[in-house]
Amino acid sequence: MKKHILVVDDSSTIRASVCACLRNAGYKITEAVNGKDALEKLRLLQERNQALSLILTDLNMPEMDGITLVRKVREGVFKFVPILVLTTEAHESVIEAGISAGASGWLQKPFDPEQLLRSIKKLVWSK
Amino acid sequence: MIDNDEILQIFFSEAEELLKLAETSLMSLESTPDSASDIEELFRSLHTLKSSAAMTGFTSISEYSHLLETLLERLRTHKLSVTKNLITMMLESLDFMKSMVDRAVRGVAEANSDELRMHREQVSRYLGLDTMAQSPGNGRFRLDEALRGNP
Repeated sequence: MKKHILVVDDSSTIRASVCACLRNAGYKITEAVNGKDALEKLRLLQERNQALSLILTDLNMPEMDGITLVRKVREGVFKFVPILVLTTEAHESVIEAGISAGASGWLQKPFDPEQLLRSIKKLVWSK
Repeated sequence: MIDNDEILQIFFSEAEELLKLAETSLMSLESTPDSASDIEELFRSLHTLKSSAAMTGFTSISEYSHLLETLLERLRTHKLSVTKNLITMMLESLDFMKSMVDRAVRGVAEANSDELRMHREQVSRYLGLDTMAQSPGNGRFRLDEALRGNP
């Protein structure tokens, strides 16, 4: 059974890069373009009783940002799913905001496929 | 399976779309200079472009977006005001970014070093001057006047 990852980013370039890397590594992917879209995708997963192994999310997005998404996920049925924050800014305040909202880790953009897969493996049980 | 060429094509069309959005926000900001939502939209377009360009290795586009983002941060926090000169400079900056993307599409270097330096300096002048906005006595400092050398 493939591990399922939700990838949330408003950049189509980053979604395409991340999803290509993850599909290549054998993960099943669902994409969302912002926090609001991510919550809708989570609602559908819940309806279909599908499992989720990880959420990868950008922070700065329209309609609903990543910090709000992290907070809302931590209040819902997927509250135990690890969340890896993808951020362009590596300021302590930004990382701290993500972690205190409930994120499990962070990775600074740009990253190469190996860095991404290493960070994911730290958070997801090995296949 | 999606390959690197396809990711580049996605980047080129995303960059074009983001620069169009940025231009629309900037034109709107010109008619309503205090519009926080226009500044926010402009910031978001450039922020996304910065990340996408960095991810695809277009460092000049990414770094220049970052510089403009820094300028917008000053507008957002009211350390700089929106002036006609600033809007003109930003429009020229967006044109320069479009030319960088066009060159990237053609597979050549995004910009020559002189051109890049000139554009960076142009934005940096606004960034460097903002500390003077704190000058006591005469309210908000008018950058456009300062840049023209007028009193």
